Amino acid sequence: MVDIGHFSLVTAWGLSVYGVAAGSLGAMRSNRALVKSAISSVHLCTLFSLASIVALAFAFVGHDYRYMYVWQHSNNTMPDHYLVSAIWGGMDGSMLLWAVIMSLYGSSVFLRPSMVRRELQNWLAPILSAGTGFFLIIVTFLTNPFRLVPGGTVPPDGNGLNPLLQNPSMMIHPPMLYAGFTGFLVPCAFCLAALLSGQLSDSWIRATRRWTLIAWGFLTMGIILGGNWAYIELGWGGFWAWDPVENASFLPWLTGTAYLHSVMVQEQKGMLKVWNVVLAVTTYMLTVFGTFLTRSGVVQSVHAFAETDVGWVFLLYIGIVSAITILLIGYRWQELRPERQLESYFSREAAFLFNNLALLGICFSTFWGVLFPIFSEAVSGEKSVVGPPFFNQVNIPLFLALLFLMGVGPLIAWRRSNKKALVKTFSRPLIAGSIITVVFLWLDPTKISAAIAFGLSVFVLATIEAEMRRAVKARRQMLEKESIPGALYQVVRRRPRRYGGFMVHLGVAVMAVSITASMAYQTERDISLSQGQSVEVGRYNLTLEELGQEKYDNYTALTAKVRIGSAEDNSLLGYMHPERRAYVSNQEVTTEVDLRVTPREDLYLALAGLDVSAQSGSHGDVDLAATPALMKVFINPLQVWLWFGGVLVMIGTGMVLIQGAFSSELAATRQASVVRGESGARA
Amino acid sequence: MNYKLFAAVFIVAGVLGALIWSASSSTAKRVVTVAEILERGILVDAVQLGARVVEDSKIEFITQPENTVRFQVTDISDPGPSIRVVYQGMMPDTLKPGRDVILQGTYDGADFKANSLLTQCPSKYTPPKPGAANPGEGQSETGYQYQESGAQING
Repeated sequence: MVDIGHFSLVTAWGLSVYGVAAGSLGAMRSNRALVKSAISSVHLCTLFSLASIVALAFAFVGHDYRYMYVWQHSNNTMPDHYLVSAIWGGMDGSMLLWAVIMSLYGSSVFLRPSMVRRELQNWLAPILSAGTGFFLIIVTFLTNPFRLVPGGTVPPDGNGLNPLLQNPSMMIHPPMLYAGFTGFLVPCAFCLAALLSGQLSDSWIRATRRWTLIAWGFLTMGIILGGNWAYIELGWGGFWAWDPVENASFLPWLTGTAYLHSVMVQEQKGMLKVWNVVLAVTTYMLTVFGTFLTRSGVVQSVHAFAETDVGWVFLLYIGIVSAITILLIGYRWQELRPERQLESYFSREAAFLFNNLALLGICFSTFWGVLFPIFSEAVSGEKSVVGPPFFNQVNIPLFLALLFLMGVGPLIAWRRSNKKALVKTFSRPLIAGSIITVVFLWLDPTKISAAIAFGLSVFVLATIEAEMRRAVKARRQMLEKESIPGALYQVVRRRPRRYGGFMVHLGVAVMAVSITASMAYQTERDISLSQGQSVEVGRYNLTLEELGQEKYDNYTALTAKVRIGSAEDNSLLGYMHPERRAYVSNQEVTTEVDLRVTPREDLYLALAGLDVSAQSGSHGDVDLAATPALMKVFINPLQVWLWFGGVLVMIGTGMVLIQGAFSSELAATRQASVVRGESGARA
Repeated sequence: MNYKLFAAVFIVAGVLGALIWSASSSTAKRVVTVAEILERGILVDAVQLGARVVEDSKIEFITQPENTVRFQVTDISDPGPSIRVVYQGMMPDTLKPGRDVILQGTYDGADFKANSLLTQCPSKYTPPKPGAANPGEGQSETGYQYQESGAQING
């Protein structure tokens, strides 16, 4: 068994090296046989990488502690599902998982006949092999999870996985993120193939739309799940802290989102060609940069992985790929010239342009903030850092601009919008939004950003509502017999790409409301309660009814039973049971928060410990009956809507993805591109 | 030339630059080491200190009159002299001797008064090598050792 995993790994990267060599030669000489053999090597490489990770999974499930990595991240008492998720419990396995998912994306490119030209297609196999191969080689030589425990002895039991990582969201959050990160290799590969082959029509963009959306969807879900994990598991009442690791996943999300929008401008107007090339490559580079950031120790993070030398290899890789891209852009400069110019700021292409600038602005400021220690040291010789206040101060205005553009973009006309149409479309949503802003300013004049954010969210919701009403009305004028829900269904069904986009925007607006509410109106209290004592927090009356201790195989739990009554008349609303666990195997203490979720607000209870100091002269056992419990109480208004908004975003992404399954729009856009392509060729 | 496009890019870049410049100058904190703090003495402006909780030292947590955590930290790369950190707030689960922390606060010549205390997160967690001391050893029954040390201070 020992060598199946390692052998597969080595074979996989061997195949990817062959894929690069044979593929490039084949593409340069247009030798179809060589290209085909390179494609076969891509598939074989995927099979061998899969075999390698399956071998690692078997090693974990079979408690094979000959492997250092298995010994470090699991033990005999862990349940099977956590044994499998322990694969990505550390860096070595995470890198392997990364390479495996990337190879799957690589293979998926060749599973269906592509609509791109042969000259472009020929370059895909070597580029995808180079992408996957780089990570496989890193796994083999620098972070090999199949390294054996030194000395040849096999320890009877393992070290165990960090209990904080033994959580259902941690089983799916890392694979989701990696599926998001690695998926951006596909648009990047098509883009480089287009540059290399000179096939620079927008066919490479159309061909990769599905992968881009899938990658974007996974990344979005991964980020939201990460926030959800932090919220539930870490006990500090929040979901986002602008930590370097979070930022590392956020950077490619921002450029990926910008890319999803800017490609529409190229498809429709033949503009922003260089921009799209830059975004496609940058997004992929930023996923690698994130890996560099978390592995190199260049930034101080509460979250960073163990510092290793691996990081610098990533930086080198980024440097090489960026240099190649810049050279290729220079080489193809003439062919990348825009077919049209921006005619008016009151047009959809302008809205998308500003949306891109805002997203890139957030991306740049976040990047700046993360690397601020390095920049400041280089400039002034003194190292300084910036934290959440910096990110909020810079990014909130940009987020507000984005919200506004999210309402404007989908409804404004291409090319040039006339005044009358603008007034007709936007006057009502603008009035609705302004009223909300004024009301919130009147309620609390100090919370200006929050009032604007609420107003703009309502503006977006109102534009979506107006669009749906207009579409349903238009349809019912044609088909009077149709019911309103029936018409709505037909409208959406016929153009899932457009209305899926609206669904995503709806979800984002809902999330914006929730984030604003919890940022501006969160209540936080530290309380100390003896048994039977009560305290009032917000609309609740909390009474500590019982404090107990329970012993389990793996940990000892300190448990509290808290009665939740309404603050008005103390009528019973329910009981909450926050816990604190002390794990035996690795001395970790974790807080198991309890949540009472209502549409209006979350009541969030974290048991912080025992107030032993209130007890006189206790050196032996703690008398739980006489010891007050320390608790952190948070009231997070509208919190549940953040997760609900995330679900809407996912549904919307799914709707956009099924475009083409039963609609005629795809055919129509293809037709349009053919027509435009011809005119472009003439010009 | 596409003047409208360049004007838009130019304006947005200008606004962004101004936002970044004002936010970095108003929120940036200098990074210092324990050795530097001791050398400079009193620090009025808030700074950031990345340090390690001294091995085998006691972490005190008292709740009267306010929740306060007190512990000794030293430099990570070059452990020498240590200073005492006073942090008002709850004891974080992950704060333990030997752990790395990131603190923000001021120094009054005696204590580092932290207004923010972050301990390294679990993904940083580097597993021990096989053959090292049994990780379970020396643990108290409940795992809530720091509370007892709190009791010793006040009891």
